[in-house]
Amino acid sequence: MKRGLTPFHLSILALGFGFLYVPIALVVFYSFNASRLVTVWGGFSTQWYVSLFANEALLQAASVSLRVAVAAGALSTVLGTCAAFALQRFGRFPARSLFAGLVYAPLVMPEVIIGLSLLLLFVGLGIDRGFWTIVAGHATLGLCFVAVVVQARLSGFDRSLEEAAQDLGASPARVFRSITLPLILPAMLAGFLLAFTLSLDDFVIASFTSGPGSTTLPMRIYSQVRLGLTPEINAVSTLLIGFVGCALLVASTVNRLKAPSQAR
Amino acid sequence: MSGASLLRLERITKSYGGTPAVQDISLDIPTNEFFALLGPSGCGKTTLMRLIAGFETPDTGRILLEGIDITHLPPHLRPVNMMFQSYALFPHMSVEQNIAFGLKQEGCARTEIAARVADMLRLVQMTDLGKRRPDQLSGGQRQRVALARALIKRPKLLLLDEPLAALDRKLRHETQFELIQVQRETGTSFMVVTHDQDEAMVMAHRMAVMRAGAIDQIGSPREVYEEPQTHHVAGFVGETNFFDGRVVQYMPGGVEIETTKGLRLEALCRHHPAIGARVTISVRPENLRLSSPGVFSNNGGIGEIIDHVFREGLSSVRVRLEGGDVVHVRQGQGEGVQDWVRGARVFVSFAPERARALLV
Repeated sequence: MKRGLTPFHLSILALGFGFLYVPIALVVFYSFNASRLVTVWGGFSTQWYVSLFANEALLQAASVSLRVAVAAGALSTVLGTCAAFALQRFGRFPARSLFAGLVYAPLVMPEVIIGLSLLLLFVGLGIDRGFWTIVAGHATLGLCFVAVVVQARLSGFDRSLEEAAQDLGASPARVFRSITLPLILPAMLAGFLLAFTLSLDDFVIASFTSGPGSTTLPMRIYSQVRLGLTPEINAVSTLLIGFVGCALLVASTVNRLKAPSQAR
Repeated sequence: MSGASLLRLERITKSYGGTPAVQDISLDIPTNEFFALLGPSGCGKTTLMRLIAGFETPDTGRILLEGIDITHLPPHLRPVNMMFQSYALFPHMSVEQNIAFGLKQEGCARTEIAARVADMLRLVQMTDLGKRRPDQLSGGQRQRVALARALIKRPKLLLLDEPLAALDRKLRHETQFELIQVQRETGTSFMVVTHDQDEAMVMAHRMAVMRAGAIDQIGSPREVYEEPQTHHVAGFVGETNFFDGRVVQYMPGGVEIETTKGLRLEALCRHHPAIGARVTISVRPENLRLSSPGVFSNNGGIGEIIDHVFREGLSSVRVRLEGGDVVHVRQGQGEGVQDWVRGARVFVSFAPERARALLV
């Protein structure tokens, strides 16, 4: 059945894309507004980008966000990969279902709940909240995404490759380094970028787990907006959108990079 | 063609979750031998190979390589290499890197690795394709790379798991002879696992026929074909005709049986069945002869020709005996061989020394 795009289809398509992207496009559009009033177009200008880079508080928050995202991404990748191996390779160990449930819980759990439970934990243990508590919170969220991506790659993994390497004299550690790791690296990289992006734009968990001096960019933006919308916020949002967009694009490309097709 | 004992299996048993996969197998492989493990799928031949490679550990029994007990040695420390059925080429490495992998693990010098990789590429006739990736190779080329990779460490024993199964018919035929040649050139003992009796017959010096986790018979392809010791071996290796019956009397070196259809037949027998015991006589199609009724009258039966095919220089005749059994007769084109017409009545018989009575 082959049919061209009727006006009906086109309008539905336009509606869908509009619904998804008009708000974002508006932010980007108004970030180049010369007017001080956020919703009134006053001509093209990049002045808000200039003033953005003079805004110490905002830059400080951006730096915290980036550092948190890198640390949380790295931690998620390591833990998520370990979890994926446990789920894929270790057979039916005791409480496997419970473990799988816990790994995947953050996928469905409301972030408010995660944030709140982490807050209670940190307070209960008497841990000072700050940079590392945000990292820990983001890693719990990120590791389940890494685990999903890496487990998918592992489930299609031909175990005889590892056996062949071992048969040729490679110790288990060398098998992992020279065969397993290179073959699952694209999945790990994609998982890292996902976790990185999630951490970068998370507001809820960060606001529960942050402490003095560790305000992330989304938190800073939110607090500024409450004091009044400035075009600077539009500018920083545009940069953030660009950054996250690039990261997601890279992640999906890396993961789609044809897994070097296994010899058949 | 073969020398001192290289590999010795002593009473190996392995079961998975209570189901025995390999039961009490003992086996000796000398140096410089081409050995085939033949059997239907699920007979335990692959398990046996994985036990030798070290991917599985036997429940009981010992594996000795040149007299040294390697039963509990992990695979990477065993001087045995394996060629996998799927070839298991590393997809992220070039052909050269794949072949060099084993030597790199040994920490060989770069120049030595390069020289030996070049030798191997020459051995498998892949000299120009060293820079390719496995996914840029044809099935036959991948098979050669896998062979070269498994041979580069000059193993004492090379295990080959269904080495030809992934190739098409024509290529399989050529590759059989290449494997024989590589085995001869390298002097490595080859142990091939296969379910294809033709492969085993063509390539092996000796073969073991397996069934249900045990070895039924070990011998040269010719011995196994001409002197099958069990019903399963006779039926699995080559084509044969069976006549089931009960022993009625002993003959010199053999027995006379009365078949379920009332024929009295004689055959050699290596076993000692009791009078009245159930046995089956196996006769290869080329050992049955046809004659006009009345010329011969013993060790055979009357039947009617149901079809007649001429193929590859042999005529292949199917005869329905009185009583309903269909037998297959194969005749060369020589003197005294008549052209039989469909529907003709014939006497099918065989010489007792060309037939074997086997226990059921």
